[in-house]
Amino acid sequence: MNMLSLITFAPLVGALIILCIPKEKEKAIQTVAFIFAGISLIASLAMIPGFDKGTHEMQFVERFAWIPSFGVQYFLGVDGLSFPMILLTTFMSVIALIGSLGIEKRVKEYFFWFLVLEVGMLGVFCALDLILFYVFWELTLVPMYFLIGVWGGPKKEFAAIKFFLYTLTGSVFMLLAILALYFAAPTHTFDMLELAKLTGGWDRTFQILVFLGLYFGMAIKVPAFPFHTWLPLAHVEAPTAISVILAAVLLKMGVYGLLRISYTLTPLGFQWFLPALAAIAVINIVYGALCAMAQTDMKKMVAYSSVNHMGYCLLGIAGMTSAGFAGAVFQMITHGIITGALFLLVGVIYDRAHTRDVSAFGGLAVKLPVYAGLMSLTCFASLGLPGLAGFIGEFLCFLGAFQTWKWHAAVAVLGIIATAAFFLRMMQKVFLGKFNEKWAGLEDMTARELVSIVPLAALTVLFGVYPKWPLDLMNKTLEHMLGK
Amino acid sequence: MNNLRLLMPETVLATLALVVAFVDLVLPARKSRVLYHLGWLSAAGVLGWVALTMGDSSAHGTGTLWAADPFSQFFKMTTLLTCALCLLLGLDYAELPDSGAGTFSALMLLSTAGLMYLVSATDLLLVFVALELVSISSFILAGFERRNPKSNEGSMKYFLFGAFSSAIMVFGISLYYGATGTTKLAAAGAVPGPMLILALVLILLGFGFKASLAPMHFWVPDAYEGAPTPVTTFLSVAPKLATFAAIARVFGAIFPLQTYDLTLLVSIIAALTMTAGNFTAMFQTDVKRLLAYSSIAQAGYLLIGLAAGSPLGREGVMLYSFVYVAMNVGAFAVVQAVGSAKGSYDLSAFDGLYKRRLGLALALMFCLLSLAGIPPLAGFIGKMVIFSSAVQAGQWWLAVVGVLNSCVSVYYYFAIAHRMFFKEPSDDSAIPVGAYVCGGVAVAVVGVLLFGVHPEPLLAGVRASAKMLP
Amino acid sequence: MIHSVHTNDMRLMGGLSKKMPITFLTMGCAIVAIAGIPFTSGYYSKDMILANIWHSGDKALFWCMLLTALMTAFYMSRLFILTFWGDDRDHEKHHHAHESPFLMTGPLVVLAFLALASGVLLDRNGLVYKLLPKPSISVAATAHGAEAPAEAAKADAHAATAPEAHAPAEAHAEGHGEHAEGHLPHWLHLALPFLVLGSIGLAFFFYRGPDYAAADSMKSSLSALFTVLDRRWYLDDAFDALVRLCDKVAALAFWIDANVVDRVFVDGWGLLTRIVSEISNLLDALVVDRTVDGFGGLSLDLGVGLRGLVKDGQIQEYLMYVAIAFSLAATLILTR
Repeated sequence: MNMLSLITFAPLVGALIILCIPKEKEKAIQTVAFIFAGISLIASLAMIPGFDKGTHEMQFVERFAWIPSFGVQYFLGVDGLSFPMILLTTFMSVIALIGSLGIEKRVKEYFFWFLVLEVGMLGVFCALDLILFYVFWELTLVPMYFLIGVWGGPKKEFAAIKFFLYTLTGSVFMLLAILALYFAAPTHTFDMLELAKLTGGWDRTFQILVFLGLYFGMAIKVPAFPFHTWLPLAHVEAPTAISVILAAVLLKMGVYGLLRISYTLTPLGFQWFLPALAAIAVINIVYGALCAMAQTDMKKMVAYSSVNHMGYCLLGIAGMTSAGFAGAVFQMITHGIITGALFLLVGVIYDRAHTRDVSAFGGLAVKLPVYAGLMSLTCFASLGLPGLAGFIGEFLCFLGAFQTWKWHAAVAVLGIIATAAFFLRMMQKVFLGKFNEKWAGLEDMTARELVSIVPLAALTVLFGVYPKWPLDLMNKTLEHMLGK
Repeated sequence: MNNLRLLMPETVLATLALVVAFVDLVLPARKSRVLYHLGWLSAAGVLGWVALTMGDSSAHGTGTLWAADPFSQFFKMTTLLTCALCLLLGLDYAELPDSGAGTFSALMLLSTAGLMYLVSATDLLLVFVALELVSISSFILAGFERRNPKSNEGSMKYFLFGAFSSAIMVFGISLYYGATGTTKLAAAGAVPGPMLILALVLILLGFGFKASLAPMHFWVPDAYEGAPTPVTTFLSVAPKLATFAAIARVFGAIFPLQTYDLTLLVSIIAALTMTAGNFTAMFQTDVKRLLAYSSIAQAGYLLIGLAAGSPLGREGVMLYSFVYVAMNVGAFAVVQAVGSAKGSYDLSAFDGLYKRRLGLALALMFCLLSLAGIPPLAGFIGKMVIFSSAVQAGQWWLAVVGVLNSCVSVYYYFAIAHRMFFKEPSDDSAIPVGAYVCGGVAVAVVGVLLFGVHPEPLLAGVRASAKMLP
Repeated sequence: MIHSVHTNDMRLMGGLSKKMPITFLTMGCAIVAIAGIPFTSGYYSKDMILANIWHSGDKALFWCMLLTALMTAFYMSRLFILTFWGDDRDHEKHHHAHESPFLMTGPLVVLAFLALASGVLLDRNGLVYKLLPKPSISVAATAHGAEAPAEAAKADAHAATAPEAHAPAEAHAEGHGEHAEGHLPHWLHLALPFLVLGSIGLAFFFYRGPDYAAADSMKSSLSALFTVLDRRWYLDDAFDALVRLCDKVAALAFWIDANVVDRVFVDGWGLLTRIVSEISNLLDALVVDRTVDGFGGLSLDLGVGLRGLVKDGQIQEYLMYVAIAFSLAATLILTR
């Protein structure tokens, strides 16, 4: 049973079916979208019992010759690094679809592009051939352009084209680096596993240059300073559900690429870059938190907090220890869940009040207790309160990085403090204090919103107290990666 | 006779062109559309003939001034395909006068025949004669809308430029003759001296005119903007590709000589062409002009493959040529449909096309994305092979310029897409689309999508056809 | 108290003993215990701590601790006197004050009892040592050398037999007579309760009346010190200033991000591209077009000029031109 192909292409089938449904039948379109995204989710969950946690080898492998004349294969597989990402993607896609039920105009196109986007995201995480990886990577760009540009906020068109061009510029350098690897391998191939075995034969300068080419593409996605400025714009202007997907999955593609491709295929280049990576991580953490602190728009605040959180991932990777790597991957998962929830929650208040300005509210906890509770939980998780999922990731990242990068870790702690500061201040301004009579008519969360957010909150708590399950999934693979 | 037999397809095509012209004399005016059908059927017929004899080695060989090898047959097929598609588009182009139907078809077929002679030529004389045949036919075709001042202006500029570059080319050929004592290409034992180098540079510039390479590209926007859209489609594809085949043949015979290296010159021309095309396209408001500049840039990408000077580069050029037919014809076909219906080719004519006819909007978007080189479309495969030939040859700076230009091109391609999908139309009526345009668009889009996802047959075919004689 | 009077401000309280008797009595027990009156729980714990500090040898620390213990007695008594003693200072609040319900006073009584009795109870038969393990490193250990640690270790290991182990250790230590562990020197031990009572008395003296003139005059004469203490050593202000500084830094970081990093380095490329494109466009429209038109114009002028040469149509002129051309050509060929 070709599980990975099923998971990756089920949304595409759904998208094609949606193209055939007339645009007035919105309910049918939404149902089809849910069915096919659900198929991917169920299939990925069904893979869990079959997944062997005790090996680092690729599992559920599918391998066909795609373009033999050029050495390109259709090569899919998952291991401890990519399997959690697949689960995260399928899960968050369904959550985002629930969040998309509020879209009213051009419903057909929206769900079409969303499903195409999901195909691209899933493909990135399971592709083991570099060209296939690149194809899926680029496949996410066009749907995002339309999703932001048609259904977004006031500056949506600028945000869409900026996002597209910026990411594309990075990606084309990635393409050149991939081609360089292809020609450097004696057996011209794009097979990632094959190339990983040949790294010994490449000299340091070559690896550094190829690493830089790959890094430029990945860094824009992560987003690493100074290539992060597309993020606040894209996140703020995108519709709520797309912000969720952008934060939860698309940012992970960058870090995943760093681990899967840059680290394994250009190890010497990666080594050379480590000091810079650690420095960039710290800048992300502190600078991202400071920028977030200066915001009055809640969505922009959360966007910058994403910059901050991905900094922890980079710090963990820079530590080059199993704790660091585990922390980075765990942080990827939990950041997806937590920040996804944050965007949904910000969307909740925006749908009702049509403003996201922190100072516009006050004392909402009285009127909207459920909302206040969920928002507080998620904010605490985001700032890394022990007992919730965010803490585990951050802690492991610091633990992993501390041995080699003591001072970096010490400075990065300031970022945690700043994060706590702005989240708590936001909560205080919005939920506590005197009730702002302007919002007397606001209602608490609807069933649809609860269905999309409560599972995320539950997972946040669950992973916070029992992180063993996700960590077990990834341990063997990460240890093997470091053992090389 | 074996000699001439090698050129049977093109001779037959030229004869058919004259037949069409003759039939035009006797046919009453109201039945003139038959002539278009005659035209595209002739092209399709010859295409089938060439395709069937592709694998037949008895159809290959060298003649006095020409050679028929898989390489030339491949380009003949692309040219014939383009001709057939453009004649189909001409059927639905209202601005073409009925009285000129025969002339139009005949000229198109003659132009195609000329191109076919061009790709087979192994002697510079035949190259020149073929180029002249193509040019003269094209000049007239470009100015076919006699009542349209833009058409006249474009055609005039095309002619003036063309005459100028023909002169340059002839001068180059004469220098070549002076340096080597013959006009044959396989001038082994050529004495590398300043005269030969100058000759080659001038010949390259002469080719550059037809292939719209910088600095000989200045006629392109005006000519393309003014010409009838089917002619623009033809001009943007067929002469360009055939000229690249000719350049490959001419310079492929010379490049192996390492005593002087024209690679740098060719690379610089490629970089200039791409940059000039992409950057000037950014603020165009007329779609035909925009696509004209885009085609200049595309020529630049093709030249990268030749600059690499390797078999992989040549394969890249062949692959990209084939894919380019599909992308460009598709794009121009949609532009023709919208422009004719709206009466204007301004960008604003495309506002809200998604509402007026979603199929056309999607088709144009796929073609534009393919032109920009976004996977999983055919254009990406083409660019991938071209850039990898540059990487393999160690031409890093050229590859970087190439990919950056691809990014820049996205901006203006998306300017069109932005109009189509983000803006609201001025009137909601559906755009009337003729059956032939529809067919053309469909063929093009299928090609773009299919070869993006399953390029293997095309790649294998290209690899098999890359053999050049001698 | 706060609940019944609806304020935290002690200066508005006073005379609550009449209104809230149970609270009054339980509070009294607590104050007495925390001040360290002998045989209350506070006394035992303070005694032990002070003794250990004394024996550790750090005399400066000891006198500091002693002073703070006396200050504790002072301010606790002040609290008690201001709130419960004498006459009320705010009639309105006093009028509304009432005893708390049983739900609040019940626990107060229990806690008051424990405050008074728990010290005696725990110290009896060394009960406290049964409940807590004896620390392996103790103040006495450093003074006694190896003996006590060995016994302490033994005590740790055999927790069940702890009392028996402890008792001989204690007896052993006491047998030595001098630095008996857990006891202050005799004179200090006797002086301590009097000092405590003295500070309670001082508090009583200062604050028993409805107004506290003596305290106020002291406050004004030591105003600088008072201000520092009142502002909590300016720590709160420092933190506030730090937070405001962070906010400024954050705003600066964001400004840099939006205007420098984004606008210059990202949008800047876009602007550059647009500029190059404009130049390219201008070049095309002005230079190239003009050149082409120029050629056209040149040709026209040339044509007009040449036409002017032959406009009269005179055959003689034509023949003259032919002759000129022929002679030029002949010259060239013949002089090669």
